Amino acid sequence: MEIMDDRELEKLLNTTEGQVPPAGLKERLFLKITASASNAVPALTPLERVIFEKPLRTACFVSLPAACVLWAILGNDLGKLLSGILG
Amino acid sequence: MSRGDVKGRFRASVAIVLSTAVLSSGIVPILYFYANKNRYGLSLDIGGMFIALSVSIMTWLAACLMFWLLSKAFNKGLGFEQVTSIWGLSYIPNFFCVVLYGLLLIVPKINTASSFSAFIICAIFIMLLVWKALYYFMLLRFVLDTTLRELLIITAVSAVVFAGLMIIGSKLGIQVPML
Repeated sequence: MEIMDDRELEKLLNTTEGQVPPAGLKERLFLKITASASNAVPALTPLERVIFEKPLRTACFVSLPAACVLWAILGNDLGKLLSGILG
Repeated sequence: MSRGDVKGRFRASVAIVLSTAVLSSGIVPILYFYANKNRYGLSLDIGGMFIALSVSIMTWLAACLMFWLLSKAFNKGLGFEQVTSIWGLSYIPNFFCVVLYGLLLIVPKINTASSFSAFIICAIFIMLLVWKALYYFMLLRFVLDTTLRELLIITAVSAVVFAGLMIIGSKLGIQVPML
């Protein structure tokens, strides 16, 4: 049996290491392929997860500050504005 | 929100759209009539209610047709039934909007009682609007799988179509837009 010398072994290790994909790439590819094959929901980015997983919660978080701003600007006229819009 | 499981969702979508349309064009006007007939001498416009009901359903189908044509234009391979089943689910905020509008129409004192009650009502209306907008973007992002360029084009086209449908609807007696 022929014994490989250290240099050759290092070379071989370097060549195989170079082919290892970056961490998480396989998982991302797998998710993408399975999602497109099964028509499932695509993988979400963290921001999309926060916004779209519970749209009602997101809507609540947006509406409260928006209504506060309107209330601060219009004060008692907010009711009149609403009545005007509703007809 | 995804492309799969069309059959179960189609029935749910039709149920949501029909209940919203019936509530908006039938139940709310009838309740308003019985709440105010002694004060204003109102009469029930059955023909107008039927027209409003038909237009409500037609505007849903028109919006679905627009999304389906846009998906065809961008080669997204989406069927009309898929679009109708998914877009119909976005009528949940519309349903609650009609409930709130009907409540304010029948009991207007809720809105004008205090500025805090106006704030609460305003917050609920904004919440429903944002909820609907999120459904719209979920349709484009997860079902049509659009790029940013396609999303901008579709939004521009749908803004024009929605504005047109809202104007037509308001002329035919629909107070809460049924899009």
